[in-house]
Amino acid sequence: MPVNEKKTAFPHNKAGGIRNMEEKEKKDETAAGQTPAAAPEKKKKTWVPWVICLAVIIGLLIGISSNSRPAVTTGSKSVTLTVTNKDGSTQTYEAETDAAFLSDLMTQLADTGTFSYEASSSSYGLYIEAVNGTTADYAADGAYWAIYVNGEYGQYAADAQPVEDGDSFELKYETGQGG
Amino acid sequence: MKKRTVRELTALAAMSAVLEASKAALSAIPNVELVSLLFMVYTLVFGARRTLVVSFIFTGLECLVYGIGIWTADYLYVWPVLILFTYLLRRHEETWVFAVLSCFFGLSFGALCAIVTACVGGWSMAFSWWLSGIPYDVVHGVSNFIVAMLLFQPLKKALTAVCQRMKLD
Repeated sequence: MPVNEKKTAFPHNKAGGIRNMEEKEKKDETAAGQTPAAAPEKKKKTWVPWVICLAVIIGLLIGISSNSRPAVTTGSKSVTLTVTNKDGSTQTYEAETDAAFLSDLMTQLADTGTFSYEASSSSYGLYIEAVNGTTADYAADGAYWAIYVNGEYGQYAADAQPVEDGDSFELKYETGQGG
Repeated sequence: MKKRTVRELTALAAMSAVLEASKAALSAIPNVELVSLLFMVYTLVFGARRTLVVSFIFTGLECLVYGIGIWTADYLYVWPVLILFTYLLRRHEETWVFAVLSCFFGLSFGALCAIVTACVGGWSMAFSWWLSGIPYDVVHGVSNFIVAMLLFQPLKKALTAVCQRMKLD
C-alpha cells in the first residue's frame, strides 16, 4: 500500500492547502517531540472543552439509564392479568407468582390455566403475537397486543416488564396508534 | 447528469464492500465498529455525493444479509446525517474534530433511530426504546472516539493514495 507517498494533497484542503500539507508532513516526520511554534498549544485548548462536553453527556446518559432501570423484586406476589379481546370482552386471571417479569407470569398462567399466548423475540424484546388464540397482525391492520401496567401504557416489553406485588396487568388488542 | 464511469462504479463497489466487510469482521463486538470512521474518511477523501450513494448501497447490502427490518429505515438517514456533518467539518484536519463527531454520533445513534420507532409505536415506545439502549450508545460513543483517534489519519492517508491512483476526479 503506497502510504508513504509523500506528495499527497487532500482534495478538500484549506485554501493554501499545499503549504498546510507540507507543514503537516514535517510535523509527522518529527513525530512527537520538538513542536514548532504555538500551533499545537492552540489545538490543545480547542479540544479540551469538547471532550469535557462529551464526558458530561456520557455521565448524564449513564445517570438517566441507571435511574430508569426497573428494580425487580422476587418472592410471592399476587397479581392479576386481564385480557381485553378484539371484541372488547375481558378475561381476568389472578395469580400468586414468583415471576420476575411479565413474560414469566404469562408462561406460568399458560402452564396452569386456560390462558395461552404466542410470542417471538425481536430486537425490541418479546413481541406478543397472539393471546388466547387471537392473533394481532400488525402488517394486516395495524393490530397489536398492548401491555398496560396498573392502567398505564406499558414502557417495556413483556420480558423486561417487572412484576410487583399487587400489580394488575392488561393485555389489550389494539389497532393503530395506542397510548 | 454526469455519466458514471467504470472506474467510478468500481470505486463505489469497493467502498461498499470494505464497509460491509468491516461491519462483518467486528460484528462479534456489539457497538464497536469501523463503519462510522469509514463513512467520515470516505466523505473527506471521495466526496460527500459518492459517499451518500455508498451509504445507500451499504443499506441495501445489509438488507440482503439481515433482511428488511425497522432498522432499514434508520440506516437510510443515520448515515447521511453523519456524512452531512463530516461534509460540514471537511475543512478541519485535526483528528480530534472527527473523533468528537464520531463520539457524538455514537451517543446519539439510539436517539436518531428512535425517530423511526416513534413512527411505528408512538413516542412512549420510542422513549423506552432509547432508554433501554443507552448503555449501548455509551459504548458506541466511546469506542467510536477511540477508533477515530487511532485510525483516522492512517486510513485517510491510505485512502487518499488509493483515490489518486484510481484517478477519480
